[in-house]
Amino acid sequence: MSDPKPTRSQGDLAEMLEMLLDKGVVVNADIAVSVGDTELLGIELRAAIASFETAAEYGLEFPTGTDMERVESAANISPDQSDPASETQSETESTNPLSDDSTPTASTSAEETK
Amino acid sequence: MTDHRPSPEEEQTTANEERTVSNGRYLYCVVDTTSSESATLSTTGVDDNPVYVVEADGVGAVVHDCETVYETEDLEQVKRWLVTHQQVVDAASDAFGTPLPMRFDTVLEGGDASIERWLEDHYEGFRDELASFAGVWEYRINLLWDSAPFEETIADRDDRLRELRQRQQQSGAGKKFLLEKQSDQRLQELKRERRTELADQLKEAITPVVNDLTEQDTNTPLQDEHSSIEKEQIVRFAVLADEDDETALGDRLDTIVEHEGVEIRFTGPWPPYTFAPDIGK
Repeated sequence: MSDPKPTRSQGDLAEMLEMLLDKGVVVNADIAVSVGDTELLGIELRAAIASFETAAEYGLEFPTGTDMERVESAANISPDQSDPASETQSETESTNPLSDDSTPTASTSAEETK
Repeated sequence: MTDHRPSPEEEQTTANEERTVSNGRYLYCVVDTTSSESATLSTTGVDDNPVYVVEADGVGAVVHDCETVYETEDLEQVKRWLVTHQQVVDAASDAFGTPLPMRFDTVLEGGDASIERWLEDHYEGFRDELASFAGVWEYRINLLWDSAPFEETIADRDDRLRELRQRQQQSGAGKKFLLEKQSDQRLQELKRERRTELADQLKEAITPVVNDLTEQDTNTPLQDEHSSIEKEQIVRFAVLADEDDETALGDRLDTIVEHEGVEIRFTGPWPPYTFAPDIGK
């Protein structure tokens, strides 16, 4: 095992959403009309986010130039994810640097988006 | 996503009534605009609104114009908003370095002038915070454990458990039941110890290469469905680390993964959501 890198794959979205709803700077100012009042989003949303699918289902991807190279190298997926000839699921699984035997997040979502 | 609880009349009114905002600005993050040649950002934000930067002397607020706050009962809609929100923050991070990220649905009133005044009012605080977070990012570390390999071999290493199991085999039904219970208790105890040991080892391994570390609730309702079923979550850390230490952090995590049944989920770099302080009063 070498060169372990953090991932920002689509499978990590649930973590991101939790940060956006529960963390982040809260602005206390008179001009703030809505200060990230996530209470109003309710329990229901939280439950739904627990089963957040993937960004791809919304036609979204992380912006180009962000960390895609890092993501790709971490997940060992080919740069063009939509390429049907890209690496197979089992290959991505076995080469993930930070996973011993279970499915890494990146390849899980790659499978789901196919 | 139509399976909402029955809304009493009162609730319905609230849901249908859009909270209008006078000259609203939806705020994504605050950035150091001196770190970029131009204080502009061309990207599209929540609800396809064009995103721009309101600047005051080197401190910029990444915003879009809005007329309402973002409330809806359509969960798919909220998810789309959240993802887009993060994309804007990512674009801002690319352009200006580590931002101070706001919580979702932060809306300020009074237009650009009001934002500028707000930036000026908290100018010192913003400069200090942006300087302290420059070049550092949040990373999330999840320690998962499949106890099966441990359970298979622990009796070889634990005298008490081995003894209980041996006696169990030689006993009659009544006694056997009691011994079974005892050996199960012993196994649970050993597993508990192992969990603590793994969490401690992880913390010890990463502490030298992180600037800050907080343990996160493992019972979060927002756990994603990709977590493997067989593996239990032992501990979850949010850490703040210098981007130059990212590789060192990864290497240290790698030493933990070598333990049997252990999986580490390592995500980032994220803006410092967990570590950024609240701003204002």
